[in-house]
Amino acid sequence: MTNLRNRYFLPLGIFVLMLLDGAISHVFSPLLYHGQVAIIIRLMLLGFVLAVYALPQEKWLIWYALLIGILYDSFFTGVIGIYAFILPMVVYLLKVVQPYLPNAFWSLSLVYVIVAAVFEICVYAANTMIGLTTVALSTFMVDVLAPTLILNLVIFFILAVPLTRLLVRIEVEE
Amino acid sequence: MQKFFSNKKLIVLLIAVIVAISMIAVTLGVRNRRESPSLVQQFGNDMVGFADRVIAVPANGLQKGTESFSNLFNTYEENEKLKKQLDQLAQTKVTAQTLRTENKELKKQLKLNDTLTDYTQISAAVLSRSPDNWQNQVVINKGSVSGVAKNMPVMSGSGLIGRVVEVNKSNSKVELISTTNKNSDKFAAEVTTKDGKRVNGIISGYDANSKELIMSQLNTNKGIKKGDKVTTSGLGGRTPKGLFIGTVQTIKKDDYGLASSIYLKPATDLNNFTVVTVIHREMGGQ
Repeated sequence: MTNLRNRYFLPLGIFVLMLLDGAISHVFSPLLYHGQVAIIIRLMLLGFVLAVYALPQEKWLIWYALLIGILYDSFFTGVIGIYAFILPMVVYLLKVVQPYLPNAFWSLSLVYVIVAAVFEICVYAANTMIGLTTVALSTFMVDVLAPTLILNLVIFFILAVPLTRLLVRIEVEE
Repeated sequence: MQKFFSNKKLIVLLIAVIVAISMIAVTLGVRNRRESPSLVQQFGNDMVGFADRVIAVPANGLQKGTESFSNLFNTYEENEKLKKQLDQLAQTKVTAQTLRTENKELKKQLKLNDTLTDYTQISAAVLSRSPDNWQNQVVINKGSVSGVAKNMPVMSGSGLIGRVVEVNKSNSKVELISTTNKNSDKFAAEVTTKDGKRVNGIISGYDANSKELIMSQLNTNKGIKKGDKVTTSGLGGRTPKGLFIGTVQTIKKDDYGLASSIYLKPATDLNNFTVVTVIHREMGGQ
């Protein structure tokens, strides 16, 4: 625990994932945003879900979620409070439920899909409430939520194992 | 699971909800009203912006690489098409130059310094895009240090793409015209018809299915034909006159048959751009 570099590795890593979300969304925007279809990249959320599973003793995770949420809000939208509330909320709920769930890979993939769906629905609801978007609920479900979950599940299958190994290595070094 | 909703946690949750909602209210107010966010927030955004450059620069390089690869295949076709346009271009260029000098001299005679059509340009690169596309926002790498101010229009390629909504020291946020945000400011636009008449209106929305902009509140719809060019009218705000928005595709009557709205094909692809130009109108506004 005395090693400061390891202490900062986790929040820094998730911060980089957040910036990657923005960069990927911009570079691949002709593919991701097509007419009403909008696919949201969520490497940041993947980082948090894997961290809850790989580092269950990490007490600071909710505070990291709060910090990353504030930075996300401030940098990408300028309206602070949406991600700053929903991200720690989702991480907290997952942390409460996690001990009761089996630790198998397939169970984790299912949990990730549910967490991602809850997360997107909350964000959409918050944006609709304050009038930042006027996309209809049916459009959101079909054109945003469904493709987003599919793509993020694919990303999960590719990145889950290497990212978990990386996280476990930090834990061992601590 | 019994302690899931204990009293203490319920209170924490309640406080968190209240804090979140009040933060949203405050920052949303700042976004809609004032020139720039609080200094702390600006500082944070600038720091994140600097970190983002490390990631955005190689990412944009990758995009340019793939783009030039696909360009290689289209080159021949494009070359044929461009050759045809080139013949007309030289003539248009000479005419434009003559008219520009004539315009300048006439303005001097009238003792006019700046008119609505005068503007300077600030070039910027796109750093990243808000992953959830709810506000259709991108972050660009120029801020108040480079002279960017809130509400300036932003162009890419040959057409208008949006407006600056938030300015930090070294980066700023641009809201695209394809946004579904209810509170966003609208652009005042005008159609120039074939017989030289001008029709005023505002760009009121975006049809995501057909990828067309909607222009409404027209003062008349007489004489508007498909293919007419639509530009900004320079009325109100910080937008100069004469920025190209798009071409007329269809003219539709509303449900009551009274007002009509025009559907425009945007001049640039609103989902594919890397370099943008922020337009600074010489004549003061607001």
